[in-house]
Amino acid sequence: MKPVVTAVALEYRDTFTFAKLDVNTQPQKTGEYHIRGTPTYIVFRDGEIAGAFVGAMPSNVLVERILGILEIDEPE
Amino acid sequence: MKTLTCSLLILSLAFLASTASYAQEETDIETLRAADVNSDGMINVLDLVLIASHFGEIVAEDQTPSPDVNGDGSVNVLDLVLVANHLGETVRPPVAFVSVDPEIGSELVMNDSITLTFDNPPADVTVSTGTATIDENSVTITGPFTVGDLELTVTWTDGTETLSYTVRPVAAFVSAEPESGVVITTEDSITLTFDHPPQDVTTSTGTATTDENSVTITGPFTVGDLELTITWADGTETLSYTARPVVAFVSADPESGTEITTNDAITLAFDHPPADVTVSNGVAITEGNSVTITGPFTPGDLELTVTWEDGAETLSYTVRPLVAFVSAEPESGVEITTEDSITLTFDNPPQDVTTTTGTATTDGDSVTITGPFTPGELELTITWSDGSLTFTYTVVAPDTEAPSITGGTVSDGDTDVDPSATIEIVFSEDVRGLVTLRTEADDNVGWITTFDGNKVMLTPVPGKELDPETTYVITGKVRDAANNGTEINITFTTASAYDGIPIEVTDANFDTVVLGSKLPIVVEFYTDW
Repeated sequence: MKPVVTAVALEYRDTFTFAKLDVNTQPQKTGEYHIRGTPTYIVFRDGEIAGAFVGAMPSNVLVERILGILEIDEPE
Repeated sequence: MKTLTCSLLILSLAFLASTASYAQEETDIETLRAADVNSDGMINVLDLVLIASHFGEIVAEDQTPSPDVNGDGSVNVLDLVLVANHLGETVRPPVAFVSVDPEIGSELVMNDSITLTFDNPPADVTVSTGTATIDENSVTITGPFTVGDLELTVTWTDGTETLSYTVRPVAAFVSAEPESGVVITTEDSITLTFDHPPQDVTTSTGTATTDENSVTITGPFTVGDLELTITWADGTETLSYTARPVVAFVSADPESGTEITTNDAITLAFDHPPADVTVSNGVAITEGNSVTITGPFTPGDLELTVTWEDGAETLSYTVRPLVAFVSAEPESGVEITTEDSITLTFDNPPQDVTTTTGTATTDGDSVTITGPFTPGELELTITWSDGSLTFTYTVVAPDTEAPSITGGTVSDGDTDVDPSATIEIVFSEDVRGLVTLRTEADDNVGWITTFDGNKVMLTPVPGKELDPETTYVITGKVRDAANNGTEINITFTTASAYDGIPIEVTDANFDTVVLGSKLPIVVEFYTDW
């Protein structure tokens, strides 16, 4: 899954930022956001949760899910 | 009867006398003169006739002529016999002293002669001093006589005369100062020295003053050749000179007592060309009636003594340093506005400053020329006591327009500014001033600001990098050459530092990175098994 995230993050760096948090070492935020499984993706906008989804998926699906939460059309 | 008797006696006696021979030398001269009754120098019958005419008479002692030849008081035959005994003899008349030249009591010189005059030629003349020469009625006595009092006794047949004189030495010319043949001035004096005090000194020119052995001839003399004849009791001396005018100081330019500069020249005027000019300071050059003295002179009080052959003159001046131009601000050749002022700097305070345009104000070593000046080409000549300079400027209308921002790498309101790049701001004209890069909290970030013509550059400093996605303010004020100012206030936000690589977040920075993100952010919660 990591190569997918890396590729998406690089391609859409001007649209959104990609961050990652290790649930094994960062229990506070893991607990605070009720993480039950990995990978879990939470989309923040202006400091607020815009949406979330769970599970590994191809990069195009991953992008589609994120842009859908952000209500951004796919760039040409 | 008396006459007849006498006549007979006379004839007899005359006859006897003609046969008698008597030498006059053998007879006392006084007796002979008594026999020459009529005093005609001859003893003859006429004397007998005179005796006869008084024969038998008693005569007075002072009767003249006296027929009492033998002086016995009566005229008798003894008188006739006395005459008869000397008939035919000539009787030398008595010689009496008449006069002497020089007169008694006067002063003689050693070689003078004394001439005595008698009423008849004297005989048997002898003198106590000197040598007597008889010439007719004169006797000339020549020396040399001994200097001092002279008592001269002259003795002749009929008498003695004592003459008293004071004999002085002959005064001879020894030397003249200045010596004959040289050039003198009309005001000079000439001193003649004699071996003894000269007397009766006269001079053909000037005035002679005698003092002991010296005679001083003073003028003024006439310019040109001078032939001076000095005559004194004992001689004459002729001296030749060339008389030139006395050279007198007339004026000095600048006049004494004034202020001059170290490099000034002082010109002295004389009424005639001076000679042998020397000066206590500087260098003197003589040309005609003028002497020019050049320095450089030392600043301060100057006492300048000029000496020439006829005199000396001391001049006093105050010497000040020469004031030299140093610089002009703005410098010549540039553009100025009608309202600008031009400041000239000198190495010393200039004096007597004038300007062809504007108004000159002197303050210490500086002179400020203020306008307003007329637009166009300006040729400005500044003259001060020590020099003159011309400056040229192009005068334009004053710049009243403030500089404005025309470009650059950052504009007010930019939000995606590269936080690591040098910031450049471009203005409409050259500017100077103070511009800083500050945070929103007005803290100086510490970047380096440089001005380059119409550009201002803000350069990053290591350790003082800008934060991504942070707002900063470029603030300050710039001015153009005319001092027109513009406030600068450019607010911008740096771009995100995100480079496309997922950011590893932690519990500690989660809020800052995730919740503070300007861009939407997707957080992947993952397990790294």
